[in-house]
Amino acid sequence: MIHRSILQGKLEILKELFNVSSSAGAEDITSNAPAAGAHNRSLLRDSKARFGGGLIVGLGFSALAFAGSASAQDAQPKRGGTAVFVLQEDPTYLTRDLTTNSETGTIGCILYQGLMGINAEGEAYPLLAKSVDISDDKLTYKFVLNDARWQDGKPITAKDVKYTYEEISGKHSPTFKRTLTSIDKIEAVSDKEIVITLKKPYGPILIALTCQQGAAILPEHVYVGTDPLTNKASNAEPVSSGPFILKEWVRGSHLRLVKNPDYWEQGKPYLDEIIAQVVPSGAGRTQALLSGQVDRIPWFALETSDYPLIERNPQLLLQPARKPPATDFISINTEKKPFDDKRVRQALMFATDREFLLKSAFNGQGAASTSPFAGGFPWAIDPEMDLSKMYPYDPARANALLDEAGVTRDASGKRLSMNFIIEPGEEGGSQIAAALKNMWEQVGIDLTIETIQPPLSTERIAKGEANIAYHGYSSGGDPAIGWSGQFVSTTIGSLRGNAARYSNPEIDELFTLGQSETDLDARGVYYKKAQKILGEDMPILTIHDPVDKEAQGAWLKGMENEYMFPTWRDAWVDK
Amino acid sequence: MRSFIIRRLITSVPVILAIVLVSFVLTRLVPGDPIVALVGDYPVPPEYVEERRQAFGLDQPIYVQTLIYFKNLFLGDFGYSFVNRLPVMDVILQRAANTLLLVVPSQILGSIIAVLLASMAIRRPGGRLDTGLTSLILFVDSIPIFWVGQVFIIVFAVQLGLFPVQGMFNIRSTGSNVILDFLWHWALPGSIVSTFAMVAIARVARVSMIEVSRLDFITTATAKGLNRRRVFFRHILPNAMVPVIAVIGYTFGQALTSSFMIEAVFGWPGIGELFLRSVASRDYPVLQGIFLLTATLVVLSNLLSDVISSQMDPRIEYGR
Repeated sequence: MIHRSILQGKLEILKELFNVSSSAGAEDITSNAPAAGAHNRSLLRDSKARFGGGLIVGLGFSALAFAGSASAQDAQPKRGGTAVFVLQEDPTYLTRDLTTNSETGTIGCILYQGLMGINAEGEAYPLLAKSVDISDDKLTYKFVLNDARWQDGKPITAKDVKYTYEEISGKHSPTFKRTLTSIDKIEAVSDKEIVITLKKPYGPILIALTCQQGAAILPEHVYVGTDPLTNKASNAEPVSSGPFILKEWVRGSHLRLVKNPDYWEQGKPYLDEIIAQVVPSGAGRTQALLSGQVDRIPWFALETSDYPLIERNPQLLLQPARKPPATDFISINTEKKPFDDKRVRQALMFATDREFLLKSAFNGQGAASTSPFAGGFPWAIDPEMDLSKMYPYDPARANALLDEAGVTRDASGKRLSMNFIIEPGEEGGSQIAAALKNMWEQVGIDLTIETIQPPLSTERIAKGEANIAYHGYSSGGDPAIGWSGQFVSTTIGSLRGNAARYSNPEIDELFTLGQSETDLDARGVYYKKAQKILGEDMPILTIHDPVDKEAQGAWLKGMENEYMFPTWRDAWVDK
Repeated sequence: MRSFIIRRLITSVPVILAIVLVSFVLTRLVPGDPIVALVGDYPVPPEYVEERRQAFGLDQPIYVQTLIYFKNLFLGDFGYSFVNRLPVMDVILQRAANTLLLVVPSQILGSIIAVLLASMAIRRPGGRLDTGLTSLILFVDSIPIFWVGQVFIIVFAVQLGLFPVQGMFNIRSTGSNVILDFLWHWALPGSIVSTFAMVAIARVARVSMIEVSRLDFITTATAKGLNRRRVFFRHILPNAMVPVIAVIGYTFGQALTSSFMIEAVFGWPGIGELFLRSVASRDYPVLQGIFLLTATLVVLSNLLSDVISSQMDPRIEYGR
């Protein structure tokens, strides 16, 4: 942990330096030549590359950053060895381009890489691309590819990129489908050069070209003329190019990935083998880590209730996962009376003691939300926006607002009866439902709690059959990717879309503007404005900003620069 | 004898088909859309959902789906898993083998121990050993199997570090002795499944032996002056074994289901984990395959125990 804070200190300094240099105004982001040394890659990921801000990440800084990352890693990485991490279940596919399943992301983003990667800060950097040139009008992006090969020896070309985007991701990835709608054309200019032209500027475009967002590059020669969903390369025998390649997959037991001898980043990876072991029981995963049978539990496979058990063990590290921020919230069906009146929705927020929910339902982990968006995008969050101050727990005010809105009490003191859908797997769901039933009774609202399993719950919520429902959503790495779907009217009725069925042309407009800029600060203006309106309108009651944690043995090193789904390129075992 | 087995096999076919038909309709009547489960937790356009639904033939009415399924079944095609994107047989067979590796030895071991314990206990019904066995049966019967699994993991694997926590083989090693490695991983889950099987069988074995030992021909045998050992092995045991054999066959189905839970606790890559996952994702073809397989296994194990019983007990006729 100490080393991590040192690293972060260095990073702050680096960021300062980079921000000074950003006045140069060039829009060229170049990655370092792979041959320049083992630390170059981590340099680039450590450094904060804010694309919108227009700064240079160039070779000139490599020496400086080399010093930064060298002191961060207390020892020279050891080569060889095996690391084991757990999965809850087998992945469905082996490429993220076909599904948003977390297990698939975990394996798929080791096997296949996107043009862009994503650093510990959640920002994009060139990965399979060597460099990115962005035109002044922010419409044309020219990528030059690294000299990488597929495991069958064929080179990775611009044609692979074009084919993947147009024929695979663009047709099958729930996430990339959306990206493709902002793209005008994709041209393979030469073997190693690809030009993407946008219809209009799209803020999250570089993030959208990462493996995490369903844009990992796949081999055209393996896929051409086949259905990617049934092609063996998708579900059994991948032909990949990442630092590790699949050697064996025993379903229900494990996937064994071995070092790719032809991997394009010289000197990497350090480990000989990584194994993903399938452990369906949550307790079993924690016990396997405690006994040393496995080395790491990713955030989506670690139970919050096991945090203290891991924290107590000096051999293990428990740390906040670097991943897109998420939020747990209650959606209110704004189409149903009396919830079409915003005073009623505000009253519900006043009637909700979120501090108590944080303590009782989440063991104090995470924070009570301060904004209709979860934290995590400082540039998009209005610091003056604080829901805790705007809506302190105050049943008296809730009662007054409900009276004002004409939702009166009957003889028994009841104003309203309504259903509340929770999903059994959703963390804290049942505790929240029980506590809310109590809290809202005081303002005359009678809740009927319906515990419904997905996928049925998802369907019913999308159809508008819930008065209120409790969910967890992920931001998907950018407000334009995740949060917009909660609030814009075009996603009403879609699965995991706008569950509140909230429709406000002004909000639709602000989200459209927010994604059409590339400069983060300029984008922030629209999102801040949107938060003000949403904080007043309250289509959803944001309850909790979760902080998901991941656990690993202290002997596992080199994972500091990973984001969401580790690539394991820098990992090594110190044992 | 041979015609009996053949006749039983033939009559088993409609039983299995009926189970498959009922489970086919039931799984589809359970609310929840497999496509929604497949798409996952991400907002997707409705066209995408519709396109997936058509790709899997889920836009057809249930009776059409049923007819297609049975037609394919008779052609030897067990369907295609939505989630795994593989033919159902490919998904199920390896898992089924792993489950059988856990259950079959447990059932055999449990049966042997059950008969041994029961025959020792009935030497003095109501004695210390007998009371001990009855208490053990009651105790094991009243605790949930997954809880025992958890306790065993915490005590023997995490605290004492004697056994592995999860899995069927040591996935890190490549060179170690496969059989020893398997036994080492089998020890905890196997002993639990064996114990639960043992208890169910011992209960019947004990009662059956006590009943037989009170019958007239035993009194006659003892009165004839035969020694205890001879009376037990020649007269009590063979007669008492008939219901025991039946119960071994009958509890095989139970052993399969209890192993599903133990598999989940111990990360045993068997059919249990696949079953739970397929229910959650509404992977109908895989569920269908599992129902078909378990129904067949239970029917066969019952048939096997009937054949053995009839061999042992001349009173059982093969039927006409």
